[in-house]
Amino acid sequence: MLFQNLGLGIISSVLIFPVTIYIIRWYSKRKNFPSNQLWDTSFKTAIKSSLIWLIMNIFIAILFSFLIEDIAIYFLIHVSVCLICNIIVGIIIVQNFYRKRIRESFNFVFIIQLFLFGVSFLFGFIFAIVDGLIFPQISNALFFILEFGLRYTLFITVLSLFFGFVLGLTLAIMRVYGGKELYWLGSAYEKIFRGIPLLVLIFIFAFGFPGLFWYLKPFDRLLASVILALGIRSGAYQSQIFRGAILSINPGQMEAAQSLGMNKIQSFRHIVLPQALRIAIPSWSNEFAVVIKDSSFAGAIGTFEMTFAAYIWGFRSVELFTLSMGVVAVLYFLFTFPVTHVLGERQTRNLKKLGMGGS
Amino acid sequence: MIFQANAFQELLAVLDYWDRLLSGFILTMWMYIWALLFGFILGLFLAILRVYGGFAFSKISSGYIEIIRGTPLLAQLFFIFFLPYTLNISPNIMVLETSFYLFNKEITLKLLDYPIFVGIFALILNSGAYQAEYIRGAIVSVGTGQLEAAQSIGMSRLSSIRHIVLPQALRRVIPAWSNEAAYLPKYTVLVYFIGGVEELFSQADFVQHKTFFPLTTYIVVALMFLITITLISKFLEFIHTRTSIPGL
Amino acid sequence: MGEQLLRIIDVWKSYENLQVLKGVSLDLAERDVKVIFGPSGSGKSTLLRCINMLNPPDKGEIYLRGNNITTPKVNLNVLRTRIGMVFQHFNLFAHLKAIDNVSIGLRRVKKFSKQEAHEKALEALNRVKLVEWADHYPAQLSGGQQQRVGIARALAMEPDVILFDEPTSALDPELIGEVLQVMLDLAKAGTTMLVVTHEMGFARAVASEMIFIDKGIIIERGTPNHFSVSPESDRVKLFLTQLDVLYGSHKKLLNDTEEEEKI
Repeated sequence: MLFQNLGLGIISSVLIFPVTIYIIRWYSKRKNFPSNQLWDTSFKTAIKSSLIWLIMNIFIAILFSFLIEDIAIYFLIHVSVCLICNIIVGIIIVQNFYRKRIRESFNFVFIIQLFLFGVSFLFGFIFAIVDGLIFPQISNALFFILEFGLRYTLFITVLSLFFGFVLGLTLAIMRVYGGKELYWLGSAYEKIFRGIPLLVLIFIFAFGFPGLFWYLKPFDRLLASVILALGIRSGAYQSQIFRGAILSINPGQMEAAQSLGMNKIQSFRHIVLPQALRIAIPSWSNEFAVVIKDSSFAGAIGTFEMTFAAYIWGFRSVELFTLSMGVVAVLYFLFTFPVTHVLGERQTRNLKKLGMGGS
Repeated sequence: MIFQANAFQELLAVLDYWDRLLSGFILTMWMYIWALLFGFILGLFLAILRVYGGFAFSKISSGYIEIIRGTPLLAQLFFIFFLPYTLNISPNIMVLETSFYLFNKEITLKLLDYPIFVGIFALILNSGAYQAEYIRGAIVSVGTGQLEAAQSIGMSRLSSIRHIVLPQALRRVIPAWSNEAAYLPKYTVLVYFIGGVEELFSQADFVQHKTFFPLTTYIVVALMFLITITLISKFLEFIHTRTSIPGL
Repeated sequence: MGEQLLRIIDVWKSYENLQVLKGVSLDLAERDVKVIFGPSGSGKSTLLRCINMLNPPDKGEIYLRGNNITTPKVNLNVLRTRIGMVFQHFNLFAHLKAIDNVSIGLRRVKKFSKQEAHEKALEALNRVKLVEWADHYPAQLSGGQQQRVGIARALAMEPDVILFDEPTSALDPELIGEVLQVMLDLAKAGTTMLVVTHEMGFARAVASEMIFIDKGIIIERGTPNHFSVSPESDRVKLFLTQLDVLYGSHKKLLNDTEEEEKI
């Protein structure tokens, strides 16, 4: 029991990272620290490296969730790996930016990371103890849900998003640069798959085409059909996002690229696409949140994922049900909130600074 | 496959249950309208609170919005459904039923009972949060200048919000709101998970179990949703162009 | 007829139902600088876009170094490496630093190695006097600086001719001078330039010929001297007076340059 709660403490410490960064940043701004280059840019470096760390966090989470069964060991190793990677990445970033002031900036980054980790670990530990002694059910529910469903939720989300990304980008290109027929085709696709409830789509693929994915095990077939349905639907929404982003780029950019002698493909790939992708990030982070929440429907057809796990766990008694639903809701929230906020508002501000916030 | 039938025969078999599909559709629309309307009221309230409420209220409002938007509708639905039982309150909702005859078939509609109420309630809370975001965006886009101008001719804050900012904001929100309004019917299918609600999707489940034609059944239902949503969308576009003011 | 670098013969162009260019003809020799001016909507920008085939003409022919570039067989991308363009709104690539803006054409189109492209880009930036700003993003540069990067970008490709589409029209008055200075330096160094602009002072300083276009037709052409002393058509006279009223302020800079030239 203590071990499990230790793990829980580590979870919360890991998730507290972005929050503490925000607090420190806000605090230093309020105190009006002298904005000589060292402070300001070191801060940005620390934040950038933490952001990269967050992304790596997600990848490592997915990777390890498939390799390691015991949830507590999983999180222990997870956190250690992340911390080490973070420091390494931070050092690399700092070395690339400040060739002269390496040692100072490195010390600064290191101290910040240590400080943040210490604060969050302390916080997490206290929480774990309180929880272990006072609310054991929460941690039980939490561990069951995570152990049972996290890997599937992440798997479904990532694959569907990727599928939707490829599909959406292709459709967007079709609609913007294709002829009338391709435009109409992309448009029809979008209208159809935005107008059908996701659940209906899942059921169509899962039960309507029993022969689909014949080469997979029966359980995996359900998973695959969910991913297919989610991917197709996400593709429809993402095509809208990318189309808007591409259109918002000044046509003058394309002209300038062509006047250098680039053909249409080159100008798109090197000039329009990089800018369009950056512009699309805030809306895309929203789509990420939507997909991860919609993965909760997968449980409807019997694939395990977090909500379904919560459902099973809570089924034993009614009081437990509300509790487990609350817990899983918090889990989803922890996944969506940092992403949409970090990639949403801050990115819009950064874009404006680069002068790329739309035409 | 127990026996092979061509597509047309499958379609006929499914459509044989048209009374079920119709009652499901009516219930879906019924839930949708209530959720939309009250969701709008809630959203308006939340948006005004968020923009004009002062530090505490705006934080509460934005907290609510973030939580609702950051958690799956399904989890919210389950949470609300079992909440009374957790608190040891036995939910007693007045049951509302009606029935009518159409083409020699009796169609019964259960319009209100506990699961339906929970479904509508959860949708109101959820849609309200999303609508609040759209309305908030529209209010912000009106700009502070309007409020300042209104106050400088002596209007109270409440009055200027009501007579100057809101009319403009509500016109500006129409495109985004139409989006939400058109796609809300899709989310009513989630009540399938709490059982006992016979809206369109649950009826589809029933029908496909009877006919053994899942693909056709679900495609029919998908088309029904698609057509409904497209019609709502076109209708809203029509209203938008009819009531537009140059410059807004 | 090989001595003419660029020959534009009887070009017609229409958009939708509007006839924008009605039979425009023009010649440009090597190291020559010519200025096109006229009221807005007269087709000046369209003409430039016809030359580098961004919007090909409906009728007429254009010859670059004796080769007809309006025939369908021409590889447009290769063609455009020989014709440079500087835009009114700069059109710098917002996601690339200044140095990368200049070098990307060299790397992706002319297939230079990263090292070579970088060096050539630095040379170009040096000519427009912006080497210290090489690592800055366009958003961090002033309008005048951005336009100069645009000029460097065109220069780096070492084209036969550079087209300027109202290069200073989108600039604040105090920034126009620095761009004009760069253009003057280019002209003196022997770059072949075809410039659409209202900057009469620039024209008087370096142009061999000025061409007035209105509503798609060349109304009058002649040396800068001709236009300052005795323009013939009434439309030209009206236009020149309007310009005088509007741009009186920084003519002094160009007048000084003019004096310099005469000496």
